[in-house]
Amino acid sequence: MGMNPTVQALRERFGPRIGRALVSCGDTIVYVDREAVREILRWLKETPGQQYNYLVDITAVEYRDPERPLEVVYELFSLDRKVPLRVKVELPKDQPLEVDSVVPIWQGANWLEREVYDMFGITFRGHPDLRRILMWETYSEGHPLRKDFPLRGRFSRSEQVRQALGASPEAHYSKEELSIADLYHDLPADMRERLVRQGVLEAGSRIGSRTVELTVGESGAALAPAWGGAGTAAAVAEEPDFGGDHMLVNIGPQHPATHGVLRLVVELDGEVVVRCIPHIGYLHSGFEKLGEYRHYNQIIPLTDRTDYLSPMANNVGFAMAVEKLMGIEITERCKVLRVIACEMSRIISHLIWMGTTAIDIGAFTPFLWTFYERERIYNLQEAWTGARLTTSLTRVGGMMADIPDGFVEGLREFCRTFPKTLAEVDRVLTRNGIWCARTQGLGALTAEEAINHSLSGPMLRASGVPYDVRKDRPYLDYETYDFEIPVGEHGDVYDRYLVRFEELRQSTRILEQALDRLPDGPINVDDPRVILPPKSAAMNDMEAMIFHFKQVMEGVKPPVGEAYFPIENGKGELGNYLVSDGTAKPVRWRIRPPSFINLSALPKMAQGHLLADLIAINASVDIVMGEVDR
Amino acid sequence: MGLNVGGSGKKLGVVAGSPNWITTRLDFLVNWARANSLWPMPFGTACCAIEFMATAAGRFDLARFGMERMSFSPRQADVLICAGRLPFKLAPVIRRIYDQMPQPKWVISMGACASTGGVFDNYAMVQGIDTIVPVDVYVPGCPPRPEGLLYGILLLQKKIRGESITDRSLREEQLLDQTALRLKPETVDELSEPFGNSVHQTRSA
Ligand code: SF4
Repeated sequence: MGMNPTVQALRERFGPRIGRALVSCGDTIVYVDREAVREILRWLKETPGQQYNYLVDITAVEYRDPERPLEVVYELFSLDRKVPLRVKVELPKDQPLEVDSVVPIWQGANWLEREVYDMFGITFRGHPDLRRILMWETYSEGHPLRKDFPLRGRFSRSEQVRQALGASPEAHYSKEELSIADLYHDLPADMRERLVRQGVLEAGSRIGSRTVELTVGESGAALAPAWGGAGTAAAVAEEPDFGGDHMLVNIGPQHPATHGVLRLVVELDGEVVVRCIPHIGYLHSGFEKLGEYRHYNQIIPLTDRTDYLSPMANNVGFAMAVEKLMGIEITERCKVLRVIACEMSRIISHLIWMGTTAIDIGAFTPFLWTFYERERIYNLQEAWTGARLTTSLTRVGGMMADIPDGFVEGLREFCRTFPKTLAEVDRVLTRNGIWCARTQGLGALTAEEAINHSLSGPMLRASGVPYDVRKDRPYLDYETYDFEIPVGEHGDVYDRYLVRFEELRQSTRILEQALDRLPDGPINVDDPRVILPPKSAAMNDMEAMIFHFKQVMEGVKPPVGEAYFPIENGKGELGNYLVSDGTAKPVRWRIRPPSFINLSALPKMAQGHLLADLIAINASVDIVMGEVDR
Repeated sequence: MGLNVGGSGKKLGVVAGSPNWITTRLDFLVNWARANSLWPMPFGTACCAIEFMATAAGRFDLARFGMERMSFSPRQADVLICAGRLPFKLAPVIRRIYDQMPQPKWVISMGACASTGGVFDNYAMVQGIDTIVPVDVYVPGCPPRPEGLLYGILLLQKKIRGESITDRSLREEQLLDQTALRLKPETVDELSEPFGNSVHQTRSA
């Protein structure tokens, strides 16, 4: 593929502020001047003929070569013209790591930039709320994705445990929250004291309109539980003053309705949500760092565990990214099998969403039905991969295994009977008065807002934007399947439900078509660089043995380059961005996490709704914390 | 009532001809009651929680063991089931939840991550929740199948049946010491030692 003509237009418009441009694995990359990046991105977004209106991702890359500058990467996509573009900014290490924030252009950049700040220590000038997002705010070991940061962290394990346990959860209230309507002054006295003692607040500093007045005794008394905890002497002695108008409510991180370890801090006026501030990172597991220490095929088991509601689709997405990096064309049978894997994943992902959301809104029965159907898919999945959940189905260049005997019949049977369950759920929910009352008109986003927040998947489509990676950036021959993209009208919780519901039907259709066309043939490419030779050959043939040895000991080695590969999974656009320096382990493995980005619109959606509706709105985002926090 | 003295071979003494009286050991009665109505506090964090939900749903039916009453408030819970990985950021949370649970209480560590850190031998992950809270039953697997979790629950019931209400040491609260650790620092380091081939995977090149 040639270079994107936008680069030429950029050069004409911005001259020397545009640096070198190159094409890697078909993706056009253009380097721009760090001081001009905001202006250039705004131009790219707003200029007719360019219209890169969708910010896919912001991330950063640090190379293993310590001389090379850090790079901030902006992945853009034009929803109208269906063209991607990658813009990069170089930040030499001997200068301050700073670049202008693009939050004024795209709201969706907010959390993405915070993550880059947290993981790389890059400051975004003009960001409204730049603080750590995945690690806690007082985390003192550094910025984990920097190359000089050891995989296991800088401190010993006992020190890490000590610091973690010593950090009271309340210390993670941000300054912003404490400024909410002077809420600081409504906090129990012991909590206030703790915040000052732990250095989150300083006595004498100003919060909101008032000054922090506090005398911290050098008592060093043991921390008292304050989350609904037993009243301590201090808390009892000085009753908090609830005279203010607003109230601060903390939901989570351990709460049945937050779909994982999400924590929401909510400012309430009576029952109405004035502001909702999500806190994430409670499940941050360091996937991306871990990936830098693994061979490409060894990363596939990790992908199971990011979005564990649709593991097979993640496996496919990662393998496709590596194949793009290496220029591998997979076999026809493999393509169809991967479509089957992706659609099965979409079904179980939507089913769990439906079941748990129904519970949140007060309907228990659909949970049992949808879990029953999930078990049926699990049976098939287990027959195919040997595991119910951690499937590790793909390999670079092919599949871990072909489908077993009886699988096709089993899946056909599922496709035949599954719509019956759907019809039942449809009957109890879709026109149910309570369900409609609890979902309609809630958390609505317009199309512009949804795009501006970089939403994807059913969240975006419910707002009326028909963007689906399967249609707009087709892979695995999705363009040859006959299926519809359901699109909502109001962008509210109910529309999101309808969109997902219809997607379940469409996925069943795709599955049927895939089964019909499933060709015979090999599942793996014939390429000894990436695929292990059969065991019998490895035992008998010298050459095959050498390939086997090299594969196992050295791993798959893509050439120098980088690739971004998006797929549409149940949550939205799941991207894998890989940077290779020619070795067997990626320099950078970035997951473009759909539910992380979708969740970042929650504060916007929740505003002005009742607290009880916040639960429904949060449920409608369909988050999976494993992927939000990675 | 179907009182069985599980496995121990003891017979329940029923005084013949008097339907209103049974005789039994107090320990046995208490343990029977405790073991068969464990209210779980589902501390589901990651993938294992999905299998936990599957265990609770129709096919595996946790209700058969008197456990269908999920206690989302730690104050009414008997057994903390940590299903999934526990990053350091979550460590103070599980600790507080454990502290808030009333005695008697037990902990099941479900999955490789909760038990040892699993594949996540990195900066973010607690290497086994036993460095944070005491654990009664470890369920191996990544994730454990629902059958595996059920087996772990049965083991816990067996353990409970062997307890004695007069043994106060079982019910001692394990407080944090001044360094905010439950175990000695050396013990934590030792428990968190990498093992197997993971020691060789720290090279980034
Ligand atoms: S043990 Fe495996 S399945 Fe369970 S939380 Fe850890 S990675 Fe996920």
